[in-house]
Amino acid sequence: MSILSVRFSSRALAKQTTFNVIHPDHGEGPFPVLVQLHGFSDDCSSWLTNSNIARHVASLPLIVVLPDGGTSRYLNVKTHERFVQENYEDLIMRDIPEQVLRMFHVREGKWAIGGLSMGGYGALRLGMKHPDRFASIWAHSAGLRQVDPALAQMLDDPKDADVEHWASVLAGREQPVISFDCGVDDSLLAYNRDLHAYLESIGVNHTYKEHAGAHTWDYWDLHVKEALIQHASVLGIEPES
Amino acid sequence: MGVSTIQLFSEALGKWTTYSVILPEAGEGPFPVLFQLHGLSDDHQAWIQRSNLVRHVAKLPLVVVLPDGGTSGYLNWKPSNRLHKHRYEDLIINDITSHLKRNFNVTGGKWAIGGLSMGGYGAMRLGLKYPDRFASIWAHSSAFHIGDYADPALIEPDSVATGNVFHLAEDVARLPEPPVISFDCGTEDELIEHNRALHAHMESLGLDHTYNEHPGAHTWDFWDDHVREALEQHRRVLNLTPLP
Repeated sequence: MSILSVRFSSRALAKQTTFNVIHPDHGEGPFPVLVQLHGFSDDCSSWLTNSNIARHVASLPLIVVLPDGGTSRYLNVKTHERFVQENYEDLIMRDIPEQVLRMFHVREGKWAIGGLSMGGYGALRLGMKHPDRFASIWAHSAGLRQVDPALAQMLDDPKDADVEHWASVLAGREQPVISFDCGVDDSLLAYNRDLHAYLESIGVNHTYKEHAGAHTWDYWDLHVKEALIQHASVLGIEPES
Repeated sequence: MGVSTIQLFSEALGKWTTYSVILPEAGEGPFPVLFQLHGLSDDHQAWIQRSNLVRHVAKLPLVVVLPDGGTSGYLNWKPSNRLHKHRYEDLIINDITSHLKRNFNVTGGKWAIGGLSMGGYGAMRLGLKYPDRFASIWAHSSAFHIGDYADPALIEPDSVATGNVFHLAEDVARLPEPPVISFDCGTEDELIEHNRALHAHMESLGLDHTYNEHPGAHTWDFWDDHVREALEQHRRVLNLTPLP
């Protein structure tokens, strides 16, 4: 594959930002896209440097897009500082797709989305909020804490940050394939179990797995392989030799 | 840690080139350096993107330097025409080394060198050729026979004379303080006979070294796994205390 670093001017952030792309170097385009989100305190290079994702996707005819979400939780938030704009959902849903569609040979149709921790939350929330855009979701060790008052003040509507809200909207509609996993030694385990129980209760189909391990890159490097198998299957692509 | 990509003008190549650096995130400098060399068809990003090297070194007060050796075998090649220079040994030993000393807080003493395949050959060759510069060598799945192809028509005389790691081992065996030398290879790797041959040669010379064979082939899974043993040796030889 090729690895590209793209710097562009984002309307959502009103500033320059960078995303990385893992691009297949074989197979026939157009290619489907996976948006893979990093965790809190990380950036658009973290999946590349801390995991072997580039090798794991090397045989897939898939474009992997790695945005830089800052510490935003991939939300659009109101800021009080002049000149500062933090519409990270718009970055993921509008600005980066515009760049990707313009620059690469991208297949029409739904994409896949995944991530870890803050990015697992982002993948679940954006995937469920935008089922017209994503066919496959896989979140690892997702940070699913309830929306706290400080965050709520920064949102137009606090419900917008609530994964369970978007899950309830999704019930009864055409749903993406939803999976998430968590390590049994992860401090976020209870939130993942709660979401699993809630999705069961409202009848949203999903896969939830627990594995040995904690909130670590060893865990994510291992289990992202299962996520990629799901994305490939849902997107209808097969590894090439 | 920080990962930095540096562009510099190299006298050895007569052009701009790029190397990557993994910088320690804590600890007190000056820091020693590990040169980690890539294999044939790879570049300075390969170790970062195809292995978890960045995570494996996260606790070490060490600067890891990843040069781009092209397809050179880390040898000094003769100019292929008036406009091209390909002195890759000089790139590592002169240009990047002096760039590091000028730009980073690095030690003046001995450093470590490692690599895989073509880079394993490069690490072993440069480590043995410059025992005053390198205290610790670890080569994975090495193409030790690259020196046999060092055609005097194409390679600079000095690199031809020192292209053969078997001959260099003979020189190093006579030193009072040879570097700490280790290499390993997968039992499914087609390069294994070259590794067994160097092991037997060093045994016959009485040159201290470690040679390990493991299940596995010429793959990144092998290198991602066994580079950790290399780092443990470099840590010990360079006398590094892991960061908390």
